[in-house]
Amino acid sequence: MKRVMISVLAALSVAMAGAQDFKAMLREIDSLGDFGGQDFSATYTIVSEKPGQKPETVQVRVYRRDEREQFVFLFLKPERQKGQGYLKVDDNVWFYDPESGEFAKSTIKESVQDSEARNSDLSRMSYADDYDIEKSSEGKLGAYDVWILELVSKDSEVSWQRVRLYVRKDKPLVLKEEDFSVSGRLMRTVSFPPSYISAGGKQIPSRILIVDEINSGEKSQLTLSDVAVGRLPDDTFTESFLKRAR
Amino acid sequence: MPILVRIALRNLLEHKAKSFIIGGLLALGVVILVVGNSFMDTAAAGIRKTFTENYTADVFIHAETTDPVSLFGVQSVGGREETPAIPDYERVRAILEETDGVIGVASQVTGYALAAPRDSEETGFALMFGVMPDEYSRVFENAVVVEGRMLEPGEEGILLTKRQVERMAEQLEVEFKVGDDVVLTGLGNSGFKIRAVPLVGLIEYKADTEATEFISYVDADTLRILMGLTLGTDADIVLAPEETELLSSLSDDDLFGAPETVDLASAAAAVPEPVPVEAISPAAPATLVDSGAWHFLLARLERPAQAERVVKQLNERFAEEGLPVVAEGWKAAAGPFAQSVDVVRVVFNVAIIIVAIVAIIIMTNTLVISVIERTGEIGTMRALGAQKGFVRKMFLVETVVIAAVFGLVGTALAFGILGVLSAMNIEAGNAFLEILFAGKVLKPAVNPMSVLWSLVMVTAVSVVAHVYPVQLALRIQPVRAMQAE
Repeated sequence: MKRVMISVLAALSVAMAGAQDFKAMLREIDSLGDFGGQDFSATYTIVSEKPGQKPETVQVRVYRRDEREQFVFLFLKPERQKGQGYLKVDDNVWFYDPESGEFAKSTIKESVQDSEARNSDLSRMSYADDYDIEKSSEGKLGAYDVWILELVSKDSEVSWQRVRLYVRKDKPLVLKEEDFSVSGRLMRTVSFPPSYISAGGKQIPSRILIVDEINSGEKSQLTLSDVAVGRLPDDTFTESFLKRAR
Repeated sequence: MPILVRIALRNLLEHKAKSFIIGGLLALGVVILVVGNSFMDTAAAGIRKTFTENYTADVFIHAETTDPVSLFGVQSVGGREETPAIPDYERVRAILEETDGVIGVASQVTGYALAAPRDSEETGFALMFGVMPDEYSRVFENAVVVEGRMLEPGEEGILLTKRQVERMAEQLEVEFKVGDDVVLTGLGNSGFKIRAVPLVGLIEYKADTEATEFISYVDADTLRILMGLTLGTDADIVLAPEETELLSSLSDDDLFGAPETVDLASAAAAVPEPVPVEAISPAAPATLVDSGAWHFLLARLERPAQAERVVKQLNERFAEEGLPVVAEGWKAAAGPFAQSVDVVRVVFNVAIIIVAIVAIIIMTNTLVISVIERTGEIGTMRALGAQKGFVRKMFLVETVVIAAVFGLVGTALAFGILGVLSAMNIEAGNAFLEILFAGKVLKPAVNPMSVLWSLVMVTAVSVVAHVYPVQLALRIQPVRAMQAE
């Protein structure tokens, strides 16, 4: 009996250790996108394809201060959207239109113009805080051995209720993310091919592919450039910055 | 008088009770059909009148699209299809204006936006019709200003419905006040745009229809900006091959087959460079509003009943001139909101079919009994040399005579009932009944075609009902039939 108890405890401790490992892995993944006391800025070029339509390009300059969960997006291209921007102040996201000089409340779940990318894709998020691990397994993705983690959201504030992550075994870097609806339907697939930009001691994927799984043929590529990590002036994260940018 | 008719009339008089039961049923059927159809026609006319006077007009013109279009935009799967502007608008408008019977024309842009008072954190949803206020109010007189004033020509501003403002105050705690600015965030396909325009007034409709509560009117240029109806498109953006490479990848191996690469980021923190003012160039065609762009043209006709003819005539003309535009009637313009009219008619028709089936069963039953009563008579006729066909015709004539006589009695009764209802001057009392009554007082209309249709229907029902009993009668051997007598 005692032996049985010991083996059960041993099995449990191994299982728990495994679960803790994955939670720690999620934290590590989160930390790669969290620049803490440093500020992050980069230019995202988003090219979106839709069947039967000309590809659309949007270029956005992103400024992030992760310690205060602040961000500013400033549209650089196309011409008709130049100077428009999003600003996160406290829990509110505001959209700014330089033609009228007006701000209007927006939401983090909104798409970045008509692309497959959501605003939340360009800002910091936390897998460890927002999701619980439901299941884990092993697999192979291209040339890489991966952990496959099934995550379930803790609340409804996130863009996706269920997420499947393919994480490299050699480093805590996500290669692929599959986003599911509440009913378990695959909504979109986000791929992070292994080309990175090293900034602030972290490796950031330099290109991202987002495929809409509902509307066949609709996809977007995000390409990062001009990545910089360092302290930005405090007034970057204010209305006046967007107005001045105009 | 042909012998069959004489025999039929004699038989009907001979079997008065049976004749009255079947005749009564037929007359009742005609009364239900004529009165019911009259109410349906009156309600349909009322609904049509309200919709056409509220916002659809009699004829609706839009650019050609693959999916159905209403005044609310293209109804595509997923709802993301952009409504195209009318090509060669000036020419299309000229054709419409010179068409016989057209007495008023209004142009419209349709769009959706989030609406909020300035600095409000809560926003409401607004369905907006961008119009030229002077020509629009000449074509549509149902919207009445209850607070503030109407939009002036050339003025930037918005009119909201009073009910909409009350609903948003209640549900979202958003307070809109006449004179204050309303901040509109456009949901056009070409990106978000914000415009702040003053709320110049609140409107109410003389008669509400579905959707009127949600419609707000705004000056056309403001809506065009919000919807991205601009003079030009953006210049192509030059991209490096690596910025589009992933879009053509087909498999996980394409994406994850290569060994990792790591580039170093800029060493120093990038201090944001504000975009220089000149670089935005407000005069770029992509940002200049296209003041000639309209989604729809709406025409009021002198006689709304001619709408079908005018629509056909216009479509022929557009085809002749090679203009990719389409004319349709008010129902297409009202889109999903006019479907309740058809639903009511379908429900009524289903009810009529059920009543008809019940009537057939009752009449068949009555006829079976009467045929059994007349077994001896039929046997005697057959014994005297009457062929099966003769007996069949005799019963058919009896049935048609009874249907014709009592059908006319039913029609007279129905006219009597409708006359009494009309003379009673029943008042509508509320806005909904006003639409169904097609006015403030119930004056049910009678369509001669629907009377004729009712008579044909009851005759058909009685002919169907008589088939089985006659078959039954003809199966009996003449000798047995005579013995029964």
